[in-house]
Amino acid sequence: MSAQSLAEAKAPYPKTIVLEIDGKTLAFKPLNRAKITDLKKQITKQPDLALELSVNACKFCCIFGVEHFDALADVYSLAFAGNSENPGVIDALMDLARGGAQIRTE
Amino acid sequence: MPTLESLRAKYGTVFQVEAAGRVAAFRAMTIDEARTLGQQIARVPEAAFELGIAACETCLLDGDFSGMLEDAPLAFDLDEGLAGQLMAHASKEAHAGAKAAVARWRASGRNLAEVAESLLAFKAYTGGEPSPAARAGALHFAEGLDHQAGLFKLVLGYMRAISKRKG
Repeated sequence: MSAQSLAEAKAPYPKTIVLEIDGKTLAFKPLNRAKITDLKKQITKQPDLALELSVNACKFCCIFGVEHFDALADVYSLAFAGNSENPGVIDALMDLARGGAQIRTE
Repeated sequence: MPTLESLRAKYGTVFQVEAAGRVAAFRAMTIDEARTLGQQIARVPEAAFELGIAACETCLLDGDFSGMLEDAPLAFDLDEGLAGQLMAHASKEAHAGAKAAVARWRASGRNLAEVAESLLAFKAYTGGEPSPAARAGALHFAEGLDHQAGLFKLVLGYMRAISKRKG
């Protein structure tokens, strides 16, 4: 039942991020342009709130297991916001939003 | 649909971006455009991402930019995306332009008109096309340099003459 629900939640999106943590499964849709614009704007204005803003962006993208999100983010905030050594969900979402871009100069 | 070769023939350097299964081509940013973008970002740093994307759109030559922007917005940002590369390229071009202008100035020797033209080339690098007033100013400055060089040679000769006498 749970696996079916996860598949259903993921179905509308070409790519998703799935996180398994503390026995719970969460899935995230890609960040869209508007959310990235807002996130970058807010982090530039209030860099001291970067962790909270990143966690909030992850919650915005959470499409499966969202009922567990707040409790997990409370205990494992770095699993979502990441840091310089350990990338979090937000970093995986940012990678997704790069679309595997390759830029060539001709 | 124009080919990459035809775009290169028309615009020189062309940036080809492949992201989220799509391809788009962009011309290089001019030095003036890069300077304006830098000034805008300095004024409104929180809008850097949007400004970078707008700059990419200005340089778009071919491709589904809006579709790519939906699926891969960070392919165009200033950190690791196209906007950053366009800025870096323009900065490199500006540096090369300045170096060439300095080399021309050094090679212009005593010809005042050449010195003035080199100064104007440097001015063009820093601030667009020179006005008639800038031209007159450059010529005046070149004359000043020539005059100073003359004075310097006179003093140098005088010092050499004194040192010879002492020796």
